[in-house]
Order: sequence, then C-alpha cells, then structure tokens
Amino acid sequence: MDLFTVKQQYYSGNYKQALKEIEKLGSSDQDAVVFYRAKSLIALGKYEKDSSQSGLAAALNAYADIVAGSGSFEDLESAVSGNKNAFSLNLLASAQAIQGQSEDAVKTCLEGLDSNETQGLAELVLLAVQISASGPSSGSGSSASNILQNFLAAHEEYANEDEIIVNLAESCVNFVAGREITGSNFYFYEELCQTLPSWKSQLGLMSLHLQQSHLPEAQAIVDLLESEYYQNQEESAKLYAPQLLANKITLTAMQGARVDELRSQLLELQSDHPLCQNYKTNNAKFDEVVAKYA
Amino acid sequence: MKMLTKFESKSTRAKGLAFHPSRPWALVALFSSSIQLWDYRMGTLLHKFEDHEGPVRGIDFHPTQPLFVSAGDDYTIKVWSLDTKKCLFTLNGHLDYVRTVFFHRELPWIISASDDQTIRIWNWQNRKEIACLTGHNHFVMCADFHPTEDLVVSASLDETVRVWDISGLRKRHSAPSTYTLEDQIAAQQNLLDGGFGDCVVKFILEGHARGVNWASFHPTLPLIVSGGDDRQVKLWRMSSTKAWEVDTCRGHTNNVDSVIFHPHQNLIISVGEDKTIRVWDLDKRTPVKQFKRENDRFWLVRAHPNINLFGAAHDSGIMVFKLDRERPCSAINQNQLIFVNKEKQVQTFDYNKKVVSLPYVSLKNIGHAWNAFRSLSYNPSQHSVLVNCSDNQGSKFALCPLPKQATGAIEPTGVLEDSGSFATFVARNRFVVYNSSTSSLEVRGLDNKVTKSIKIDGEDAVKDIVYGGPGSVLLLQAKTVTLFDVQQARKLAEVPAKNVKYVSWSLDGQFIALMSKHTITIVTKNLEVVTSMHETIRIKSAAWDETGVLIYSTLNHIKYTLLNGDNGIIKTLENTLYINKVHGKFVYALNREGEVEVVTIDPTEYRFKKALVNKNFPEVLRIIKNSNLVGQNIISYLQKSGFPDIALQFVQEPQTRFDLALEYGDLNIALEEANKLNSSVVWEQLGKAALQQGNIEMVELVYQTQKLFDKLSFLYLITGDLSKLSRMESIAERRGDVSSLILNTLYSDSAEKRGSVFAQSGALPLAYAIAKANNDENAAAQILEKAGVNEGSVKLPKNSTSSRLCKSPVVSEAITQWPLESPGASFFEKALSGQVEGLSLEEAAGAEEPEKGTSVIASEPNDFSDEEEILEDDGGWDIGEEDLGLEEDASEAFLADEGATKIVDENEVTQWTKNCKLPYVLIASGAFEAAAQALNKQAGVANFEPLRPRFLEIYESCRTYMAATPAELPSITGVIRAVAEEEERGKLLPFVAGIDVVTSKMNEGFSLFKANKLEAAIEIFRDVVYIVTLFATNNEEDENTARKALAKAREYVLGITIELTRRALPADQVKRNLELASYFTTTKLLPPHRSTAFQVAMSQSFKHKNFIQASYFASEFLKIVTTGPRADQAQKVKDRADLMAHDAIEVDFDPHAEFAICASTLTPIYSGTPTLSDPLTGAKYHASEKGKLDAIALISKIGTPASGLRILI
Repeated sequence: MDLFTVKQQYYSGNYKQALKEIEKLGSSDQDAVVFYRAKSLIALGKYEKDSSQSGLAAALNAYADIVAGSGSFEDLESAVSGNKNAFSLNLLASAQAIQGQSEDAVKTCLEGLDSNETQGLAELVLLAVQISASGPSSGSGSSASNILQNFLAAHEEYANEDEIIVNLAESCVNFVAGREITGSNFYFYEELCQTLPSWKSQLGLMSLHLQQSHLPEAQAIVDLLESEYYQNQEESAKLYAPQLLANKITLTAMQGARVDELRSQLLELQSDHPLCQNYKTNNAKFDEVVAKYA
Repeated sequence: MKMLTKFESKSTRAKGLAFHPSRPWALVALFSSSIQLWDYRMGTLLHKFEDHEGPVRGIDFHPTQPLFVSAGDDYTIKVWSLDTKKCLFTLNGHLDYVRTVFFHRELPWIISASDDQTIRIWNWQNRKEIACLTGHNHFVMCADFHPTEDLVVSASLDETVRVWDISGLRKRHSAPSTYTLEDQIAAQQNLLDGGFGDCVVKFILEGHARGVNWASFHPTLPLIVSGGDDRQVKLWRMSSTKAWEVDTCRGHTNNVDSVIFHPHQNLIISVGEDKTIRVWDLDKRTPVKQFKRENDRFWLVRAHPNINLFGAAHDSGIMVFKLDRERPCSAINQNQLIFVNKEKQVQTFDYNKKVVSLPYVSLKNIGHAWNAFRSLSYNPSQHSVLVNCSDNQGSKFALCPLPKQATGAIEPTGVLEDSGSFATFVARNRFVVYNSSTSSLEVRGLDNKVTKSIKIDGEDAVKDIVYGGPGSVLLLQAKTVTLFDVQQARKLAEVPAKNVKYVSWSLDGQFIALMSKHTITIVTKNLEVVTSMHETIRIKSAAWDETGVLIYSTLNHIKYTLLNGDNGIIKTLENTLYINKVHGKFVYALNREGEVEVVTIDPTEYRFKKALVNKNFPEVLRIIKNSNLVGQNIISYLQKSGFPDIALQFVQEPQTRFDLALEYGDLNIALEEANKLNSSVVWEQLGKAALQQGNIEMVELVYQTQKLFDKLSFLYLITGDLSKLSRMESIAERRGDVSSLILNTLYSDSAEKRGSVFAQSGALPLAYAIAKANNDENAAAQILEKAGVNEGSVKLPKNSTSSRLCKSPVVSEAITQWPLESPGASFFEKALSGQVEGLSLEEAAGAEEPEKGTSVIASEPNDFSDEEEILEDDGGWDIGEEDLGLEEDASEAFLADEGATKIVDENEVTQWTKNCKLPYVLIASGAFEAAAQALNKQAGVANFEPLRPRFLEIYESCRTYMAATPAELPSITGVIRAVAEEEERGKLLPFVAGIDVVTSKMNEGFSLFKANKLEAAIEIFRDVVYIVTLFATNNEEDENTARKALAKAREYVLGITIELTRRALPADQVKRNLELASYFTTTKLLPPHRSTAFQVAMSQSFKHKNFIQASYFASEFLKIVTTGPRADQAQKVKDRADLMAHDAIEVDFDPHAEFAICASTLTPIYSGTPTLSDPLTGAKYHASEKGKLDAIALISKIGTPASGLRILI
C-alpha cells in the first residue's frame, strides 16, 4: 500500500488532509495505516479510543492518554511489550521522550532499528534523530547525525514514500548543527511552504529565517500565521500556538524589544517548552549572580 | 599591443586547430593525416590520433562532452572519444574533401563544409545526416553555426558568403513529441527530393572578387567577417531582412585563409598565406598590429572559447598566443591597493574595510590604444599615479594626478605624457625615467623637468625599473639586478639573476623576492642571496605575509616558501591570480578581469614550519594543539628536518615511535615500543643503540630477552661483572652448550673447568695440554690414565704455559651504566606534561581555578572574595595595573566551571566563548556568572538586577526552536549566529542585534524628552546604558556610536534627574530650585533640548528676580534658538533683566567656572576638588560618594577600579 501522500501530508503538518488520504485507501488494519490514522487524530485532538484494545490499538490508546496528560506510562509499556514492532516502539520512545527520558527513548528507537522489522524504520530514525537533537547534551547534533548516517548507510534505497521522513531527519540534523542555514535546509522549508503549506512548515521556515537574521521575513510569517486563514485552522493553531510564541519571543528579542509579556504567555501555555526551561535555568543562574554581587 | 607567444609546436603543415573549453589542451589537424593533442601549458604532446587517410582539415572539441570531431580529404567525418582515445564512429555522406567541421553549442549537431559544394548537418547522437544545404556552386571552404541564433554562415570559392536560416531544422529536430511517423516519412522524402525546406538561404553576400576562404559570425553583434583569395578582409552587417557590406580591410599581400572576431574586444584577427597574423580595429577598420613568420604560411586562426588565448595553424605547426598582457598593474600604499582595472580605470581597494572604491579616472586615452599598462607607481603626497606603457613603437609614460574623491570614470586633468620607460617615483616630488636611446636614468620633478641624468654603464640592457627603497631603484637587467642609489648616482649592490620580471619587498623591508619566469630568488635588502628556487609552472606574483613568509602564485597554485627554501602548495587556483598582499589567512589578489579577489588560505602549515625553523617551540606546540595538522606528512617532515623528538609526541603507532625514539636517542621510549613490537630486528636495533649509549642494563635486558648468551657473557666480561659471568658459565653448562661453556671458561679464566670440559667431551689431548700448561699435574695424570698413554709419548707445543692474558677487573663493582650526561626532558616533553609555566596552548584552555585563601593570592587583586577590602584601601590600587589577562583567566575559570555540566562535546555554544570573551558572547552562551565577572572587572558592575531582562533577551535572541513531529515531543533548539553561513569554527559567534537597536532607543528617549515625559524618558536612557553595556560589535564605527550613545544617555539621565528633583522640591526652597535649574543647563543635551533647559532656568531665575542669571540664560538660549515666538520671549526677558541687572538670591552657580555636577548629590564639583567617576557611565561624583551605586545606571559602583568596558569583538 502506498502511503506516499499520507506521509507527505502528515509530516508537513497537514493532519486533516492526511486523514482524508487515509480514508481514500479504504479500510485497512495494517499497522502503518492504523498508526498514521491515530497519530493524525491525536494531533488534531480528536482521537477516540479504539475498542479493540489489542495489538497496536492498545498501545495507541495508552499513548493518546499520555499525550492528553492522563495516561500512565505503565499501561503503554505493557501494551507495547505485548506487541513489539517498530510502530509500538515508536510510541514507547515518544512517550519516554515526552517524560524527559531521552536516553531511554533513543535506546528504544535503536532497539526497533536493530530488529528485523521492515516497516516503520524511517519513522523510528526520525524520532531518534529528533530526540537526540533536542536534549541539552545534543552536542551540536553529532549523535543525531550518527544515527541518521548509520541508517542511510544501511538503507541506501529507502522507500519512496519515506523520503519526506528522511528529509525531515536530515533537516533536523542540519538545524541543530547550524549547517546549510542558507542552503539546502532553507530551501527544504521554503519548498515545503510552497507545496504543503501549514502551520508546521511555516514555523519551520520562520526558524530558518531567524537563523539567517531575516527579521522582516520572519515577521511576515508571524503576520501570516496570525491572519484569519491560519487562525481558522483551529486544531493546528492550538497545537502550534506555543511554537509560534517561542518563535515570536526569539524574533522580538532579536529586534531588541522586550519579551517579558510574550514569555509569560508561553510559560502559561507550555511551561515545559525548551525556551521556558532555559528561562527558568537562566533566571535561577541570574539570581545567584545578583546575590553574589549584592 | 603586444603579442605574447605562449606555446609553439613543431610538426608538418597544420590545417586545423581547436582549443579544449576547460583543460589546457589543443588539437591540431595535420596535413600528414594525423591529429595531435597537445598540452600547451606544459608543452607536451599527449596523444596522436591516426585514422584518417590523407590530410585532416577540420577539427573541433565538443563544448561539454569528452568528444571531438575531425574531417579531411578522405570525405569522412570522424567523432572521437577523449576518454578512450578511439574513433567512436564515422559519418559518411560527403562526396569530396571536407574542409571544416564544428559542433553546435547546445544541440547534438555537427556542421560540415565540403568541396562537394554542400554543407551538411549531422546529429551525432543518432549518427544521422539531418540536413544537406545546397546552393553554393563551388567548393564550400567553411561553414559554422551562429553562437546563439539558428543561423549558419558559409564561405565558398564561388566568391560568395551565404547566411542560412536553420530554424525549421531546430523545430523539427528538437520537438520529438510532435515528430510523427508521417513527419518522418515526409522528412525522408524531403531529403530524397533535395527540397530541404528546413534550411533556406537567407542572404547571399557578394563582394569578394575571388573565392572566399572563411567567414565568421560576431559573438554578439549582427556582424560577419570574411576573408578571401582577393587578399581582403570584409566586414558585413545584417538585419533581420537584409545584409550588406560595411567595409574592407586591405593589407594582406596574399590569400586570406581565416578571419575571426576577437571574443571580447572590438578587434578582427586575420591570417593568410602572406605569413602574417593581422589585427584590425573593428570600429575603424584600420590595422592595429601585425605579426610575421619568416617561412610559414598561416592557414587558420581560432580563439579559445573561454580564456584570452588564440591559436594559429601554419606550415610547420601551431602557435598559441595572447594579445596583450592580462596582469592588471597595481601599487600598494599603506592600507590601500591602487590598481588599473580592465577598463583602464584607476581604482583603490581598502584592505581594512575590504571595499573597492569607485573609479577615480579613466586612462583610456592615455598610452597606446589596445595596450594595457605595464606598471604603475603611486605618489601619496601628490595623490597621483605614473603609468607605463610600451609597444614596438616605443615606450610612453603618463603622470596623472587623481581627484581627491572617487566619483566615477572621469577624464583625468593635468596629465603629463611623455616618452620614456619605466617611470617610477623615487621620492615625494621626484621620479625616474629610463631613456633607452641614451641608456641613462633621468630624474625628473613633478613638472616633468629633468633635474639629473645618470648614465647606466654596462651592456646589460635595463628591462625594468622598480622601487628600491627611499631614493633608490632596482634596475632589472637581463642578467643582473642592481640596486641603484639615484641621489648619489651610484650602484649600491648587484646580484646575478636572469630575466627578473617582478619584485616583491617584505613588509619589514629586509628581504626582496626577485621573480623571473621560473625562478624565485630571495635576497636581502643588500642583494645578498638567501635562497633560490625553481618552479616548473610559470611564476606570476608574490607577496610577503606579516611573519616573513613569501606567498607566491603560479599559473595555477598559491604556494609558500620560507627563507630556508622550504616550500609547498597552499591552494590550487582555477584562474590565475596576481597576489599583492597577504595578511593572516587572507590573500589579496587581482584577477585577469582586473578585480580584487580575497582568497582565504590555511596558513597553519607554513606557520608551523617557520616556527620549527626558528625553534619557536611554544608556537609549534600551540599550532599542533589547535589545528588538525597531523598525519604522516608532517611526521616525516619533522623527522627529515631533525625534530624526531617533536614528531614523537604525536605518533601512536609503535614502529614509527620506535624509529623516532632511536633517532632521537630516547632509549626508554624505544624500549617501551620494542616491548610492544617484540620482533628480533627491533630488539637488535635497540641492543645496538643501547650499547652505543653505554646503557649496560638495557643491553643486558635486550640480550636476555633475545637469549643471546654469548653476547651476554661478553658484556659481563667487559663490564667486569664476574659474578654474573660465572652464572653464565653454569647456565651454559646446564644448557649443554659446550662451545659456549668453553668461551665462558676463557672469560673467567678458569682453566680447571675448561680442562674438565674438554676431558668430558672427549678432547683429551686439549684437556691434557691445559692441565700441563697450568701445572696441574694431578689432573694431567688422570687424563693420561684415562687415555691410556704415558707422559713421554705426549709432545706438547713448546710455549704452552699458563695464560696470563686474562686480567682481573680493575673496577671493584660491575659497571652498569656508562656515565653520560643525563638528558633533560625536551621542551616538548615538559610542555606536554605541563611543566612549562606561562605557556598558553589554547585560547580557551581551562585555566586553573584561582585558589582562594593562600597567602600569595590573597594579596592579589583578582581574589574576588576580598573585593570590599580592596575598595576600602584608599589609593592602594592603581587602575592602570589591572591586568586584562587576569580578568580573562577569571572568566575562563568560571566558564570551565559553569560549562562542565552542560558541555559534553564540541558544542557550538562553547565555541562561541572560545572565540570571544565579551560579556555579550558569554551571556549568549549562558555563562552568566562569567559574564557578570567580566562586567564587574571591566566596569565595576555590582547591582545586576536591572540587567536581568537584557541577559535573558540576549540569550533568547540567539536561539530558535523547531517543532518536532509529532508536536508533543520536545522542540529542537537551533542556534542563531552572527553570520549564518560561517563555516570556520574559529569564527562562530552568536547573533548580535545591530547598532540600530541603540540608535532607535535613543530616538525614543529623545521624543519622550521632547514630549516632557521625563519619567519614561529616564527609563529609556537607562535602557540605552544597559544595552550598550551588554553590546558587542565587530566594527569600530559601531563601537564608537555605541560609546557615544552611552555618554549621551548619561547626560540625559543626569539632566532629567536634576529637573525631576527640581520639580519635586517644596515651593519654599527657592535657592535650590534655581541652582538645579541652572545645573540642568550644563548637561550636554542635544541643542534643541538644551534650549529647553535654558528656558526653564531663564524663567525660574526671572521669576525669582535673579536677573543677571536670567539674562545669561536668555542669551544662551538665543544662541540656539534665534527666531520664533520663544526667541522673542527670551529677547524680552533679556531686555528686561538687563535693565534690572541684579540677583536677588545668591546661588551656587557660576556660569564661567569649570565644574561638573555630582550625579548623586546634584551639586557642583569645581575643578581642583577631588572627584571620582563611575567606571561604567563615566558620571562624576564627589569623593564622598565612593562605593555607592552610580545614580545614572544604578548598576555600577562609583570609584571601583576597573579596566574599562569592552564591546569590540
């Protein structure tokens, strides 16, 4: 079954279109289809528990609960251990990452990558890359880069439908390492914004503009995302609101203006955002400085 | 114009020639049936292609593919592969000799012209003939495509030139989708019919009186040039509908065989059987230049498709040549390069700012048209240039004053032109010119009057003259270079050096690099040869870097050479560059387009070698530590150049380490490695080396390991170790090695033992002899008995007596070590084990944490915990002594501390702090404590709270976050750099908001001030101070602006504070009110704002009857505001006040005295009273305010010793 369009839509952040594409495929209980249907619904905040409670569905139910903030990690673990495959491991690793156990999460991903699975590997690589790139000890993404390189070395010809996943992983590695800021990484997002515009791709492009100190362009994206068209995409607007705020904070700081108000909005909205975490650490650090010289 | 021959081949008659588009290759079609492939840069014949029968006439390289095509008198066209050097296929169809073949520039087509009176077009991909153009009614001598349009031009002996329209052909053959079967059939029908509707004759150009041999299109203009047997070159112009003859160039004295347009310049180049190459001016159709060969008729001329080269085929080969030199001439003055661009305009380049100026003047009309200048000399005091220009008609120079400002390519004024060679400035107001007719050197003033004429003796003609230091010149002669003092008119020095063309002086003026075509000779300023080196590729230019390394360029490389002749390649060049300056890793050069190029090189290698040569070991070590300069190359270099000990430090591999250790003589390391390697060869080498050094113990160890018993015994013998020697004897016995045992008995002089050994081994006669010789009668008797012989029958040699050769050792104890001076650890060993003090290897090496509490450090100012004590110690600390180094150490220490938890590996953020230690960068990296430390040291900042938002914002302005997929995962952090595409780690820095943030903030403050919103304005101006305090910039201009803004903001904060204080006063404090109002006027506000202050002071003074003061303020006000209602009012006040002319209240304000306002007490500090200033804002205070918080920015402590705020990266 060709999931090319599904993945294109899903990974560019067009979850509704992804669901439409899944519907076009007809009813299928293939893991990949089940996985993407559920993940799209989770992203839209419309996931309803699958009654079957078996196989991947059970894991997805448990995962959705965790995302919603109500689930228990043990439920997910037991659901996954009953049905270990690349997709269920993906969920487990994601949950571990959300809980801040990034090292375990990467291990989980690698467990899946080392298995004999054929499906869902690219998804695991992307996940592993993102997780190892996001931690405080990402070291300019060298471990993320290694994971990706190992995968590419082992899978010279990955499936066509996985192209966007690999591209995303690559762009993530570049982003963290600050490579190709003006080159391929920028064009990747620019093209994405042309072909599959969405909250996610626009925000990605904005980050690249910020990296290039293109302040007017970045401001234009803020204006665009705050325009009626994008604000009417309620689910995405809600999902990516913290991200937009974070980028706005960066932009405003770069413009040399005050960010206090924006920052307190973000603290309220998503206090575990890396920006907030950095803020808290820095604020504490600053307290020490103040105390030391007072 | 000068024709510069670059290459000549010798062969039989050459009829065709083609240049490879990118490589230095030329194909030559020979009359003798073969095709040659030459590398014209190296001058080597690469290959010969033989497949044609009879003469080859046409030849062409494919513009992009590794293919070429040839054609000849065997009627065939052959397509060849350059990779396999084989003929790929042959196109048959022509019915007579084929004269020319050319590839189409984009389509897979070949065009051919033949004596069968046709022109044919072929598709070389499907190898089919696709068109046959008929119409000429004699041999077609040449046919080629138009470079961009669908046109063909052909020349024929029918005396016509024809232009063909082939757009129909393109339509048919480049749109295969519409090419139906019917079309194909029709096309074939077409071919068979000879109808050829695709290609039609567009113009027939008639005018030549004889057969036409050649016709070419102009690359861009609608022009055609043709040449024929009527010895004429004709120029034709065409429009979309017609074509006509423009003019004729007459001059050739025999058939013109080939003629082309110059690809870039308005020139025509023709060749003919009169053995000449002629160059014509396209605009005037006049001859510009001709070149004649003695014996060879020219058959073809061709231009290189991409570079400025031409080729001509003649009776005995080909020649590759250039019209005119391509080196832009230039001169350096301080930080400027003065150069002449391709348009003959004078421009300058600023090395500091790296910008090229607009042109100053255009020298187009100076010198010879079509001739580039040969050299240029600059006079900074007159701001003028001397340019030289020469051709076979003679040499000319021009003295051209430049306008002050570069405004564009204007015509120069006041130019002095004269004949004479090599004009060069020798002093502020004098230059020299060489007069070749009298071979004398003329010294001329700026008015071109000859003040002195000096005859240059000797037959060695002067080829050029260059600057030779103040008042001197270097005469470049055919065989020598002479340093000539113009003032004293005498030779100072001379060095033999052939054909030196260019010269480069080292920056310190100590060395000169003399360059000829293939040799660089480095001489001292007194022309003593230091080194000389040969280059196979032509040397183009050279410049010295600031450390005295010569960087030079050849046709295709940038290379370096040290004064000892050590040299190497730094970089490969695609295009030739003329280097004029080297600074650090930047090489500044002019290219052949007359543009400045800045090339970045890696100077590590030559810096390293230079440091080695100079034995600057700390530098060597620093380079090795900080660069990736390792590898076999450097190790073998170190070994070769006598630094095995250094090499040793950087090798892991045991065998190499072993070899290096032996070479260096470090036996311990050698032993260590030998243990790892454990091969007999290695042990043997080690044993020998140890023996040579007299390291007995090690020799013993080696012999023991290798079980070399005999050698061991001998070793014990010579070292006098008798006990071990005897042990060896017993070992030998145990081993049952008889000969070894006997050897040992000899060493130990134990005759008895030896005898018994012989006896046991059955050599009874020997045993007997021994016993007898040593007078051991008992033993002798036993032996005799055993042997069954009696004494009388044994005859011993006469002199067999007991040996006394074996001496007992003279040493009481065995020697274990030959006494040698014990070697100290080498510099490198020490340095690596951290024993060398004060050696900073890395810019950011983790410095030691300052130890607190020890007695030594406690008295040092960098002990932070004693801060208070230092402050109270009046005058005890001289600010000037504050060492910046200490401060850096401190920040580093904290960096290491703070970073330890976060920095796992080479993080970009860590790199930032390595690259720069400004507070801004430290904050951006999250090293708040280190930043605070630096701010405290630099500017006495102690109250950090107001800076909190800036700290956080700076940190946040350097990071952006990317959503992960799915969005619930933590976002990914990316950094924002100062320069997004920066690739060099050593230059990575965080984003810094520009100076405009400061200026816009200032403006915001100004408008608030103007609107009388003083409470808000004071906050904004404080903000400016905070922004500047935490600012960073890489250019001095912005730094200046920032510092000025800080000073301005300080004045505003002070002024506003005074005014706000005044407004808050109770109504009865009139005196203080008046004082504050007058102090307000002394703050250095912008004039419009200051006028407001005067106005306040004026009205307050007037109101309270201080008329003299009021008058003063009014007149000050009127100095700023001269018209308008406010001025009128002030004038009135002044008039009234002047009438009254007395002050009711005495105030502490004297407008004519010099004083500052104490920013905290708001009282005057008259000069002569002790003052303090704030280390950050520079605000002035009474001495009593020491240690208090600065009232301006509220963050720094008044009077704290500080090193000064640093914001320049």
